Amino acid sequence: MATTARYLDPAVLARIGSLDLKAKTVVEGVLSGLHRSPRRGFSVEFAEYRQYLPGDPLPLIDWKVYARTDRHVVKKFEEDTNLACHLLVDVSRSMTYGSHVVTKRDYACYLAASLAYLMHRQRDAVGLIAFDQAIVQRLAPSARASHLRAVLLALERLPSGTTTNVARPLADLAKVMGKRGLVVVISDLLDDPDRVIQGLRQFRQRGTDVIVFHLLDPQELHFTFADAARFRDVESASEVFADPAAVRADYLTAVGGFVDRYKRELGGAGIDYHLLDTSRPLDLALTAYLTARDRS
Amino acid sequence: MFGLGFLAPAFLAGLAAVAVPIVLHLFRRRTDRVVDFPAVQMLPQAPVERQERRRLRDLLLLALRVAALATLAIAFARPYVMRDGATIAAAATIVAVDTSLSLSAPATWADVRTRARAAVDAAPAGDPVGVVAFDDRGRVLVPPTVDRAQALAAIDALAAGTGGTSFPAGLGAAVDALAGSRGRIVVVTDAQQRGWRGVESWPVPTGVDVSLVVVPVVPGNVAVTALRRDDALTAVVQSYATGPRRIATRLSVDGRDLTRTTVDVAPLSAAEVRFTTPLPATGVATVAIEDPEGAPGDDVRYWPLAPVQAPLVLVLTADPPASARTGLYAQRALEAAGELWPVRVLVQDGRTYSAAPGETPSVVVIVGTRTLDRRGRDRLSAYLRSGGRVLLSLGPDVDVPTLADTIGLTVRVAPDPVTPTPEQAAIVPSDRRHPIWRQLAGSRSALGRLPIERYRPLLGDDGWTVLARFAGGAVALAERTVDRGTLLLFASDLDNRWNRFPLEPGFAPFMVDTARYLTRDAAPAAAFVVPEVPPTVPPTPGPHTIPASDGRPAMTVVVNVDPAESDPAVLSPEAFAAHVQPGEPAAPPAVDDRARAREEQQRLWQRGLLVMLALLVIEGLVGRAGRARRAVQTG
Repeated sequence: MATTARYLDPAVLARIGSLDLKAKTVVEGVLSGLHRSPRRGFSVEFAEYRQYLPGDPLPLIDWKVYARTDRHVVKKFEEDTNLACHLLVDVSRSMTYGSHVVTKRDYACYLAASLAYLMHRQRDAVGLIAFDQAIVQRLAPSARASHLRAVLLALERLPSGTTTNVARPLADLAKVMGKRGLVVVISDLLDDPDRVIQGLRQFRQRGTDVIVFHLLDPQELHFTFADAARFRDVESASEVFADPAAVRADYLTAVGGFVDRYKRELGGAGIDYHLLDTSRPLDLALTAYLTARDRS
Repeated sequence: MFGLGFLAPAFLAGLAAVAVPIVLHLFRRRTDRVVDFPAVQMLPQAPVERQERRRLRDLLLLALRVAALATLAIAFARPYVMRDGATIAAAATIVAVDTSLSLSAPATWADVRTRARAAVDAAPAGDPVGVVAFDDRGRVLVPPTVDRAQALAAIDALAAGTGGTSFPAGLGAAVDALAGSRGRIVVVTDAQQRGWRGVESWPVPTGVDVSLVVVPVVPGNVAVTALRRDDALTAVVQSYATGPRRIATRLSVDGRDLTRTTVDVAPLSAAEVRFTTPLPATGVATVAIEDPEGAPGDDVRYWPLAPVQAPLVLVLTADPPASARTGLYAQRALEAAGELWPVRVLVQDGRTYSAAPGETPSVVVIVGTRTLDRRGRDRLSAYLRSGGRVLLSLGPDVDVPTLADTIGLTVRVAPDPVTPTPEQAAIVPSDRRHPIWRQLAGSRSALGRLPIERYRPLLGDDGWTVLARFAGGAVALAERTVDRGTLLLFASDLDNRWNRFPLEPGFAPFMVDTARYLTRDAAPAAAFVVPEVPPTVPPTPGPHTIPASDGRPAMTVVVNVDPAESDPAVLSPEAFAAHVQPGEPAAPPAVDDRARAREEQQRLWQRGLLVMLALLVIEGLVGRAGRARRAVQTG
């Protein structure tokens, strides 16, 4: 494994002490693999020239270049953004599950911190919302340098939640955020899919970009238990006695249908949906963000 | 108020076994892993057993298993519930049933059974009941038990016999059945007067209540009470009927009828029937009467035709009996036995005995030796050493200095008599079961209150078997062997000079039983009366053949019932009770006995085992249901 890729491994990240260092490690690792800045636009910082095309604003034509080369080119600058990003981190009890060294909650924190770092680096305003069945903590978006520290600190001290209800905090957030923005949902989505999908759709209907990172533990994805046991729901405490060998096929079918439904219906609603295995590196998530940022 | 006790508490250690299912339960819980898993909703929705329900079922199984093991341990410990102290102390009831001849009339015996069963049923509920049967001897048929059916079955199996009535025998057996504990004795009897014969009072432990259930005897019994033979055989037919009776009689010899006749008997009178038919020289003559309503046992009497010499008892006195009437009391006492123990009694003074040797006696009773000369002393000594039996009384006519020559044995006797205090004069048998004391042990006046005024102390009792002592500790009656002979020594007088024993009712039984004891292995008599039958003769009325043994030829003897048993005279309950005297306090029932009786009555261990089986069945059903539920889930 290359050095940068190794530092994207959640198990390696778990051994790194501070969350900001983890985020920096992830982000730098990801950016070092990219060839250029992901976004161009109006900015005070020059990016490149390109051939003038009809319809381009005339003020963008670089007349000095025209004087030297007799060609009409326009200047392109790195964008000076005012994008407000909201990181919605699920802190319900189901997120505390982890079949290896990193729980879903840990993974969510790494991911949220990395995204915050990356957003801050791109001068986007980043906010943080922790929720279970309601919003339990909220930091309004800000692009100030000190705000990143507050976000990372908040991620390190996330409160413990109870049961999951994604729809309600989404509805609360929709009421307060503006039209332009980006909502990043980091959750295991172990909730009623109808309510979740309905809650996310209302953002899209308001023109807000939404990225959903669906975190699932490897056991949740593959159900590799060997011995019969009583499986207890960490939120409702209901139990099912099952022999994994006997029920594995049915379980995988159910999980596959669960994921496919999110993928299908959220994709149909114009929402980026990414299923993340918490044992896999975080670069996929960051790349997905940058792609979405490109579209914004 | 109530307490739980255990007969075998050591088995309670088995309660530790309840730890086994508990440990297994805990161990099993650990193997049945609980895995926290967020996506439980994705698991197949088979019939799912909720945790609480399953926990409850596991606890139920655990409780059932623990309860089954605990019940088993407790059942083996034989539990019983003790109620309040008064009930615990409730003692046994002994029903003593009189089975003597006087109750053998069919109608009377049916009444006896009915009343005996009623006595069992009337015992306090839950208290043990025992059954004793008695005639001349007492027999414990059923020791105290709470199993009333066992007691009733024993009563149903009883039959009246041909024995006499002895209340001391019945009470003694009943007290034995009580094993020293307090309780109550219910005597079911006709209360025949002779039941206390020879016994003025009988000690019953304090705390033992004696009650009487009197069975009225059907009147009109007729009995053959005696046979006498001179030139003819004469039978005495006694009627206890209140009206005149004509009785058919029959004489037979060895089962062959010789003659039949009838006799008219006045009310409550006797009549003699004289059979002049010539009788053969040997065999057994039987005189029988027809009395279907009365007791069957006394309707027949037997007479041995072969002549048998009765034993001779020589009473040796110092002075001629005709002049001093010495030896008279011993003679009269021995002759009083009559038909019960036919005996010939010869009273001789020392001089006569020394001068003219006669028939060798079976027993010599020495009242005086003062007039024996050398020949007489040598003859007496030789008699004793050659197997003779001697009862030596150390009365005033016994010459102590020549005593060693007289009996051929040095006996250390104080030359001068001592005068005991009244308290020291009581005779205390060493063993009341000894044949000599058989009839006297129950009578206080016969021994305990004997007015012994003087006696000669025996100086040292080495070599003697002491049969009785004075209350002061001196030897009263002792026995020893002298070569082949037997010497019995009485430390006082038998001639009404140093004591008034010969005037007491117990003197005759003492003399007869002593003489019979001394002649116990002598040539047997030919006729016996129940129950005074030697061990070699069956104690049942009728002719019996004694096989030849020890050089003696086989001989035929007869056993007859005691004619006194036919006498229907009865005691009033008060008169009966007057003979019962409180004795040593009875101990309260031992705790173990009470507990055992209570446990036997309650039989909680059986219920415990049933409960345990029920628990195991329930446990099996619950466990099977749980396994079936899991099979559905995992399948």
